[in-house]
Amino acid sequence: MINYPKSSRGMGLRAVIFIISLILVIASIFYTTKLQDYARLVQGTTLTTDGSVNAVSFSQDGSLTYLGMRDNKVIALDQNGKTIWEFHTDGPILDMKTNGDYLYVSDDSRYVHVLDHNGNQLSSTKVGYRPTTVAGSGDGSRILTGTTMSAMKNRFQLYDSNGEQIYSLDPLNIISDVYYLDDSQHGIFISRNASVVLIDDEGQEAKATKIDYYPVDSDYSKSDDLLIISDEGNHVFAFDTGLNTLWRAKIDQKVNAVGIDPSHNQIYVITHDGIFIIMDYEGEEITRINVTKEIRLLAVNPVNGTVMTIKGDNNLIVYDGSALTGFARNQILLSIFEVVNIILIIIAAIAFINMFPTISRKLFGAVINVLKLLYRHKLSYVLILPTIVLLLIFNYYPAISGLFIAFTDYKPGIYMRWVGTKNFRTMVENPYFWTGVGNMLLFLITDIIKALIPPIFFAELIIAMRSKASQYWTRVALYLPGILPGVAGMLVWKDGILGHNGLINSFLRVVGLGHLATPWLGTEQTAIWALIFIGFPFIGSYIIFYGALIGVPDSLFDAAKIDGCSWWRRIISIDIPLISPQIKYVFVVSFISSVQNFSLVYLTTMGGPGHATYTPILELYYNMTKFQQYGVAAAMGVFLFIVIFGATIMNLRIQTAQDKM
Amino acid sequence: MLKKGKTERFRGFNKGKGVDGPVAQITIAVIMICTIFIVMLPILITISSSLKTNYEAALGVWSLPKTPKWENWGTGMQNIIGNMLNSLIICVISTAGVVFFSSIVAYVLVRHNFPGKELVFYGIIALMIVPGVLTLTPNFLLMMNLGIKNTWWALILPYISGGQVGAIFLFRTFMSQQPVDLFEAAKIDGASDLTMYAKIAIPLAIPVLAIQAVGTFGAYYNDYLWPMLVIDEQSKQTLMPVLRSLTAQISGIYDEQGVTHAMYLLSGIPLIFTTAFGLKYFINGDFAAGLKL
Repeated sequence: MINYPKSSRGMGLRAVIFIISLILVIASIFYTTKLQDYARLVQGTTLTTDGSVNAVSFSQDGSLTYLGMRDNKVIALDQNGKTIWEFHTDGPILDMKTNGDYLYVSDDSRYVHVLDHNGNQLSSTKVGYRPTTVAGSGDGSRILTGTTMSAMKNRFQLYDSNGEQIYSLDPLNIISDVYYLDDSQHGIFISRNASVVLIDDEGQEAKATKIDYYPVDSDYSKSDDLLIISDEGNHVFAFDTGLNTLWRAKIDQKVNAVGIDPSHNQIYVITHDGIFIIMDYEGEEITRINVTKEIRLLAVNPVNGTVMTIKGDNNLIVYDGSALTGFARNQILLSIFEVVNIILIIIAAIAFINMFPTISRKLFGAVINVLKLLYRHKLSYVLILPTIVLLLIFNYYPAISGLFIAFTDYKPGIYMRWVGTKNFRTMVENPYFWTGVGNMLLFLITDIIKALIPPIFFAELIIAMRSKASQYWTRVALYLPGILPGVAGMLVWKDGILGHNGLINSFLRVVGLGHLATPWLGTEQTAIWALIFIGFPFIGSYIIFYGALIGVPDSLFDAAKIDGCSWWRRIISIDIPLISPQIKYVFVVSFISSVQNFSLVYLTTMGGPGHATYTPILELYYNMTKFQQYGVAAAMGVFLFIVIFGATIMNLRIQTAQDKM
Repeated sequence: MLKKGKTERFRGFNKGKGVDGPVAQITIAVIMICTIFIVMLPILITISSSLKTNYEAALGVWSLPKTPKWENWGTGMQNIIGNMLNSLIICVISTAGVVFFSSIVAYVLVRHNFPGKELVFYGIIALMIVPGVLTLTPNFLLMMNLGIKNTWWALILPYISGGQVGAIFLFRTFMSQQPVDLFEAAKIDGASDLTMYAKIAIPLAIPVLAIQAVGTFGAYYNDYLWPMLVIDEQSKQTLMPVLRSLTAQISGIYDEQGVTHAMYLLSGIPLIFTTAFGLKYFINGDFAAGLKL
């Protein structure tokens, strides 16, 4: 202990040590919560647009987002997602790029437009072929476009602001992207045959280079003099504006899109599997974040680093740039600070106790005594340690975190947001939830009846047999069906017994009641009763009741007999009260397993026909697997837990009430 | 007087008649024979269907195979053996783990005195009121976060951990009934703690250990939902979750309905062994005395 008290020291010093450690604790906890806030921002916000987005660009000051739509228009949105202006064209937007105050737009009606940030049309130029990609200079004087007619008819063209063509070249292949450099003297095009070519304003090739495979996506940052291109071999190449290769990086997954964030000096790569990879300007991977699949387009606001991605057709997901940057660093820092917090709190606590010398001496003495005591019983602790550790990790932690997750929106490894009772509302608002609860209760009541009445009856019948040998062989015979696994048994019941050509239907046909034959599990009215019928004649836990009845002293039976008590009467008034501990046990066990019975419905009807046999546990399963709504799934777990807990409590109350009597 | 007369009458009625009388006994016998037949029916149907040709199967459930088609069993076995071995390995390890750790903890809880013993015991027992459905989602997420999802660890570790709760409770009840004198005598003779555990406590507890082992093995072998959630690849999966899809897969290849039923039937082979092994301990229902709430 660092601050072990020495009584001669003054009170002042101890108080100072305590206050310093307290300040450290508060500062550290404060910083930890800030780090956690960052992690929460990584989730992204979703915007849904009216139509499909083909291209995204940003205004020079970063305040406007331009969306090039498939339905013939350009929309400018402000930071809040409000539409500021729209610009209509005659064809779907093919490409857009901003340079300076100018927005260069190409559309499928073979026009390239130059707009200012207010959406005013400065010029429109008709180009010969479809302008699949466009770029321009920062002063609005040059428009560069890659156009195509067919695989063999492609052009790389430069226009001035009056729409006069300066040059037109045949790039020999379809151009996938063009950029106009900030020196206002050069353009770059990337073509489908993996060429990257630098052309000066006279149309002369200044430099050409190759990448490994067909290009997938590219981005250019004029402020950082950086061009990055990804190819189908999952490489990312970085060039300067002289087309000198700076580096190349191999990504272990299929790359969908790349983007440069000049405000954070980072490069973003999004993969087919929905992994967001952050790299620095040297091509070193900083971190990766699991976002969402199906992102096909990525654009970075050069001013604030906001990342705009497009998922599927028209789902815009916006990620906060600084949050993405902070994420990686924060994840490491967060885990460090969580440990630091605990250490600091312990130090502060020791420092606090240290302020009171008499108490601290006693307390530290006591702690040492406890430690000595624990050491003396070390063998006991060592022996139970594995069990305790396993139970803490795999039982206690899930039980407690389950109660917590039910109130959060949880995406594993990405974020966890507190949402209050929203998950429970989602659960209850599901139109089939109450149908499910109704079915669950029906199953529950019938399961308990099935678990108690027939098994007790059969146990009594076995006991009533006079021959011990036949008692034995009956028990053995009833025990044997256990060799068929539950799943197999269920499938046999489903097809062999309740199926269309199953036992019951063929029996009905044989006795001439063929018109009653029906696919029992496939008919809405009969399905749930057919499921309840599975397992007939429900011998269940007969062996438990048999064992309990054997334990009843013979003298009681004899006395009952002498008193002229009939068999039925004896069962009701003597046997059942005597085996009530076992009845309670079977009641609770069958209650718990009934609520949790998943395979019965999943293997047979999957909740159908319609929703006739839908149960909450089935919905829980779908929330976990299909929808990955872990919060809602956990909420359903909590709901079912409360139902089960109710039974346990009820049972305990009956028991205590009986004990008092 | 009237009361006495009534009693007399009933006494006489009960001697040779009543439930011990021949009529009642025959009735019981008939009921039990019918019950046994119905209870056995799913297995009988499975056995008979598994030996049929497609033509015989089309004749209906009642028809019997003329010449048993044993090839169905061979084909069926070939198709389930891989997943069955997975199941066996996982269940044997898990069952052994449950019985081993639980018996040690139960022994420590009964024979040792140490600070916090009550806390440990109630801490374990408290888990009995936590149903699997509450921990299902968080446990699944835990497997993901530990990076053991889609590995056997995701089955074995939770199985060993969760199985201990009930087992410790059962073993503790049983071991606390073992005579103290035995242990004291052994201590005087210089036996160490672990020797007493291995040489006295365990041998005396064999029946209850066997019951627990058979029950645990059966429960994990039959488990359906958890493996389906945490194991993604069919080659790593246990048998029960894939039984239905295995039968669906092969029905396209062999076009033999009998094979499907053979697979259902043969999937129970490990349970035949545990049933045979457990029969001796289960059949008298002696364990029922310990099952109280």
